[in-house]
Amino acid sequence: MSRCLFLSVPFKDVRVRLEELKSSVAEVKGLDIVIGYVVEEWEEPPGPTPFPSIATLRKWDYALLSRYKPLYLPYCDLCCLCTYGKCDLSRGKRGSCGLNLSEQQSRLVTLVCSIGAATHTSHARDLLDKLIERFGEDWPIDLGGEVYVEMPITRLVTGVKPRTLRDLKIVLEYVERQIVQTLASVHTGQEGDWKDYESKVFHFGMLDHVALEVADVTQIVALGFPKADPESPLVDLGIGTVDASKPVILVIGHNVLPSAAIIDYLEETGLRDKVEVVGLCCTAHDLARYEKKRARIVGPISWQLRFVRAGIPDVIVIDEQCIYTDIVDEARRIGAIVLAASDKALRGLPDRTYASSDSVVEELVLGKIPGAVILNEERLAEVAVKTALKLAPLRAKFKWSLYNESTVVEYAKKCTGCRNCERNCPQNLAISVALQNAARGDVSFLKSLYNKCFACRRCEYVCPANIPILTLILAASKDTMVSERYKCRAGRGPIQDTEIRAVGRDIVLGTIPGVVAFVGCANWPDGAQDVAKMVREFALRRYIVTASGCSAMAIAMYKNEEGQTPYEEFSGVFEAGGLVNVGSCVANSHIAGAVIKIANIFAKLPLRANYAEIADYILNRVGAVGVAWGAMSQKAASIASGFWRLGVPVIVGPHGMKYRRMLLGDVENEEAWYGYDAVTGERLWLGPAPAHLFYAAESVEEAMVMIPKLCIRAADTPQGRAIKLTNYISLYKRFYGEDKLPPDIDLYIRTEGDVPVPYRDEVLRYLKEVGWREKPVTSNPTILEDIVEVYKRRRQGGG
Amino acid sequence: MALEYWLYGDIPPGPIKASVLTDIKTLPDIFKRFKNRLFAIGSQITKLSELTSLDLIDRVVSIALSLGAWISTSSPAIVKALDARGVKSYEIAFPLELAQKISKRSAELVILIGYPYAYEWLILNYLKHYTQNVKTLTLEPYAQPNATWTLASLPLSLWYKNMCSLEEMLKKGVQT
Repeated sequence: MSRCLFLSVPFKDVRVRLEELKSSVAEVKGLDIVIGYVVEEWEEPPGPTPFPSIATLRKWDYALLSRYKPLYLPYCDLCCLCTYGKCDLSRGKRGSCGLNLSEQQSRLVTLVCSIGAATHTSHARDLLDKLIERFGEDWPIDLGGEVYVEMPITRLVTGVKPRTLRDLKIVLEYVERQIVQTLASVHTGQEGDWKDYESKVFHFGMLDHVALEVADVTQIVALGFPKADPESPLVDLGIGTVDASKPVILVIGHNVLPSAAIIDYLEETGLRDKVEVVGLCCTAHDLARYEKKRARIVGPISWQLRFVRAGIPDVIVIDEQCIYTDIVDEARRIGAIVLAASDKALRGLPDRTYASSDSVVEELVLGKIPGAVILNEERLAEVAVKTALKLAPLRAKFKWSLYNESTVVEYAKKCTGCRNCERNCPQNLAISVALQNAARGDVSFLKSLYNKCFACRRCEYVCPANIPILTLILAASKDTMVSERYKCRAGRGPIQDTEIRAVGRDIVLGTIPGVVAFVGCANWPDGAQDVAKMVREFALRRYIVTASGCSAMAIAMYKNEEGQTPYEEFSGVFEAGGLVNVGSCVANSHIAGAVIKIANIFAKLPLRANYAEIADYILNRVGAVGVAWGAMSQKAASIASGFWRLGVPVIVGPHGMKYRRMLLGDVENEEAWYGYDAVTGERLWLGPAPAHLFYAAESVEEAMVMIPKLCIRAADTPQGRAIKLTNYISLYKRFYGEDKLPPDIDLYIRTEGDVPVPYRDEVLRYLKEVGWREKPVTSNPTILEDIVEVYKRRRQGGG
Repeated sequence: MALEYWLYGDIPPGPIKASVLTDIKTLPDIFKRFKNRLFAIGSQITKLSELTSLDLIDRVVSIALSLGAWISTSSPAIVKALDARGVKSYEIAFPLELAQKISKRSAELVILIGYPYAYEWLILNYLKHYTQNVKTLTLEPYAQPNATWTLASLPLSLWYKNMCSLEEMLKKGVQT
């Protein structure tokens, strides 16, 4: 892979094409030399920023950052990344290298996002290489009859319209190269300005989104996942759906290839009915997309130890990402074994990739080794199945072997009330109180912790009496675990172009009040129910609701009064009041892809390598907001940063504060909210629409008020703005009282036409009180002066 | 009692650590050093109330009113309690938006209670580094090392008694 300096187009090996070159030594015309492979041209003219490097979109990033400034929340006041340190950066001090606390926080956010982007890219690389090996480079990128604009992120960022898996190689090589280049900026003595670090954060986010799209599209087209199917099947979800009487293989992680190989092996050997294959975390989503109706999803990432400590799995197959790093120890305690499928997570296990499967099975069943590394999916599948079949009868005593109540009480009596457990609980759960009650024979307090505990075990690590607190919580909650039986819609992948056409207008005008994406991990502050509660609220309010990852699983776990999960209650169509599960983490690309397609398909903006214009359009017109209520990982950070660069705000739960900085607009700074009318060129006050780009809410109520507020966009029509404000006001009133109005409501009302009809008199009174004045309205807002020129050229037929 | 026993289990603070107030009687002396006080009440106050006593919210509101502080909250339960008492001197403000504009306010002392632990830990660290003219005092049951002043971590029952004592002290007109 190299890069052509003249054309700024990447190529595999070498391509030189010159219309005319005159120099002192030669005159060349019509030269076109191609050696190797170049991505095929497509009909859309090249855009301004193909394959952007670190500084290419800096101007756009600066425009965003001048509106949404970081509010730094240092998790550490020191820097210990080089041997000059430790350096004290508190209260304006600088480190030996010259960085201050703000710059250090931006640097750390850059580092976090680089980890996330690298992880997704590595995942994409693994899928692409292995599936090319299996299906060939010419395997077409066919996302079904209703998706004509395939891979909108890739097209937008790189300018490449991929037609085959081969085309994705050049895309992924670009991402890999950029990650290396950008990560180098974190080294001591490189970048030194917070704004440029934040620009790099955005860059990582954008690269991350390309990698997500490559990964998910590769597996969709090669493995036969649902292709933009609004009626993808409903699959079983919950511990209670697992048949523990059969040998159970549990797959954990994010890379579906080992799981798919296990299913294939079972089908080929006619054993499928004899073995349960169940998944946790995103591998489970993708297993459901692969095997469809037959698949079982145990639950989100935080269900790992619930399931393992219940003793159910016989064989645990780990692929990559978000797997407890001491899962081997946990497995050993229940007599289960671990098979590691990825060289990124070897876990100290012996490598048996090239050993005969029968000999490995024997070692595992006899307990000679606690597990094995097998870096070949087919071999791993054979070992997993054979081991599960032999091991299951031997370890039948472990299945659902949680303590009985009297054992729980006996353990609880050992509690000295030191409260170390509470001091170490990230959720601040009242563990001591629960143990004291259990010691008196009342385990209901322990049981009440089940929904809020995400099984980090920090309480157990610090208990001086060695009480297995998590196990006690699980034992007290056995009946709850057994009754976990739900339905989750299998991830459908992309949004259809026809769906975008159907809703694009209403989204841009604001008459569909917004697109709300519930994404991310399972570090929910108060349990999974808050995610389901928010989903139901906004689907009923006719927002378009999308979901992915562990949040998509959480949504399935709460039923309405008629016993329906949200996936049964709401349609799977990308429409007002629909609930769309796109799939695993990498399927987040389809949510970003949908907002990009609104700009491209509905507004007909050029897509090819036209990042800044499209992002500016999304920021100002597409009322979308991401909600990562339990965001935990570095991957979640890089996914969020990809959305920020695209102009989509993200709300996280209170644990999200630990990402070290927020991006907040200052509504009191009037000057920050000026932009332009892209048609007239007039400088206009566009208002705080949206008010923030990255925001951690303290409570679910706060998030529910913030969601409609962050869906407000400068281009809303009066009717659309009134609908959005109706939602904002009504949720505010629900939580704070019918006599209350949001105090910033005057900022969002431009003319009387924006005033929501249900609250008209009250709002008009308030506007009078605060001395409100009419504000300009434009249907063509932009925060980039350059866009005015682009519009002008386009009007003049200049493309 | 070890001087810093309350740090156990938390990420160690930076070089600037909170002063730990082990005697609730010392609080009025601190309060009276600041005329402009902001009393921020978080959503977790309802959970603390469930674990201690149902009258906790009323007591916290009473403390805030006795201090003559401007109250800021986004907790629906607190808003309800304030409305029930006819209190007007409060605003509904989300914590991050409040933190963002706190330096523009005239508040000299920010008193916090009822926030998720790590959430408050980080807001306090923002205030510690970026709004040095504002002092912070946390009344949480768990010590907050990034505040200017913090109570020591105490069992909830003892902490609740301290809140009751503080309320009584302020009601009796201990000079603030």
